[in-house]
Amino acid sequence: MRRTSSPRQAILVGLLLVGTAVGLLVLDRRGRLPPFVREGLMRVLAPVHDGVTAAARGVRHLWSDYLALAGVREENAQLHAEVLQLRQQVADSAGLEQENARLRALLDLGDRRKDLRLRAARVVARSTSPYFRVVKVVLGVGEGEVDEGMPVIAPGGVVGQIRTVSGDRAEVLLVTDPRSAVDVVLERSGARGVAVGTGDADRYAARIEYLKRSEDAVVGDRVLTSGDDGRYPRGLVLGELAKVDTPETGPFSKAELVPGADLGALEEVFVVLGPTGLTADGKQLQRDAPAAIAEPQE
Amino acid sequence: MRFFTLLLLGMSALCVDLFVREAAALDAFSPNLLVVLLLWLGASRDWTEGALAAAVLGLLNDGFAGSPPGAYMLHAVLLFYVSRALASRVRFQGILGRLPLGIAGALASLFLLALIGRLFLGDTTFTERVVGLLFPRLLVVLVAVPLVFPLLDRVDSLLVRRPDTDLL
Repeated sequence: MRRTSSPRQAILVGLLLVGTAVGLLVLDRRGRLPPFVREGLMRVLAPVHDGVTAAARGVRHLWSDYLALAGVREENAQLHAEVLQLRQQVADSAGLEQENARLRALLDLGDRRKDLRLRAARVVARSTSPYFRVVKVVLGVGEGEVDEGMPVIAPGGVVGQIRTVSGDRAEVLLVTDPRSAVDVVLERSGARGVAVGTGDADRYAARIEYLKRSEDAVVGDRVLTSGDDGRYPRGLVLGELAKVDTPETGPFSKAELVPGADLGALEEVFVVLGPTGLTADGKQLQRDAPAAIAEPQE
Repeated sequence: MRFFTLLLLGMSALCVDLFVREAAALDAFSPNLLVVLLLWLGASRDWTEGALAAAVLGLLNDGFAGSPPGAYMLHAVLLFYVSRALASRVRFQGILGRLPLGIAGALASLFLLALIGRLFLGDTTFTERVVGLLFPRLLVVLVAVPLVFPLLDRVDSLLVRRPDTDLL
């Protein structure tokens, strides 16, 4: 027989659960959430998350590579088999070429930024919610411990920052998530602002807040990290201005940027562990000299 | 139905969500079948058992979504209570009879998400984004409720523990 709880018990349990959830939210907002909560969740769910993601991606590739061609095969089986074989070869080589290009770009980035200690990571899964912009990565073998708050970059530009680390896995908060804020500077005019993720479900974008209306900002301007937030190193490309709107009144312009890194198709990224003590081109940083200004990425 | 089975069903719903989102390369939308399961929990489970299951499933959803821990947990618990309160006042029977519960539940779910976003996440655009998914989410619930509710009822009737009967 099914047991029914008394109204008092129902209210008590409800209050306890709501209180727990609110407590977690408040602690997280204040940055006081014990790390084991997020780490534990990540550890428990990682195998399922990775497995389902891999299976789904396999199905997607199977569909695009094979099933889409099924109709053609009916027309001419022999010819189609040949075409399939050739296409497979082309697809394989194209895939390899793409992978090659990606990895080369990644290596180039490492070469270009000798001022930064980097650790490679592979993107294995995304958030299941359209309201939050988070990806999960598996850290590559390498020296250096990865910690919360460390910046994550890709050849195109800044990706985000580490949110949680659990073993060789980490969760990355993308720069387009509304919880992300990056202190930025426009490369051309030197105008300052803060890039905050829009969190839009249908695109990856961030808006620039506190951009003074008197400052010179036009669509296409490159947006770089200023380094003043103490989190992102100076001179990393964040993206390009896609929209600038200067209202009639008010102290600030409204601007929006499109990230330089293709956040929708991330595969490999670098975690920035810290400075190497070298300049971007690999020269020894002199102690008495003013801090080196890192060259922006291409 | 045993508590563990409820959790397994919830995990399955979350996995289906994840699979659909990845396989179809959906960036802006996920079906969110967990909402349908929570509505069913409200319509068929006891207060305490349902609330506990909702809380655990909400927390797991937080893990999958990368949201601040507690966000989806709070959403799930409150949605369960709304659904349970509705179901205890109105008798929802048959496929058509359950659709109003689905619609009310989907609206309540979006409202709760918007409220949580506003109160706890400090995200000023959260409401806008939640409202943007109003119609797709309603559509999913309208399609899923007639299909999933009978299935869950069937599983429930198979797994429910019956009192021992004296065969003699």
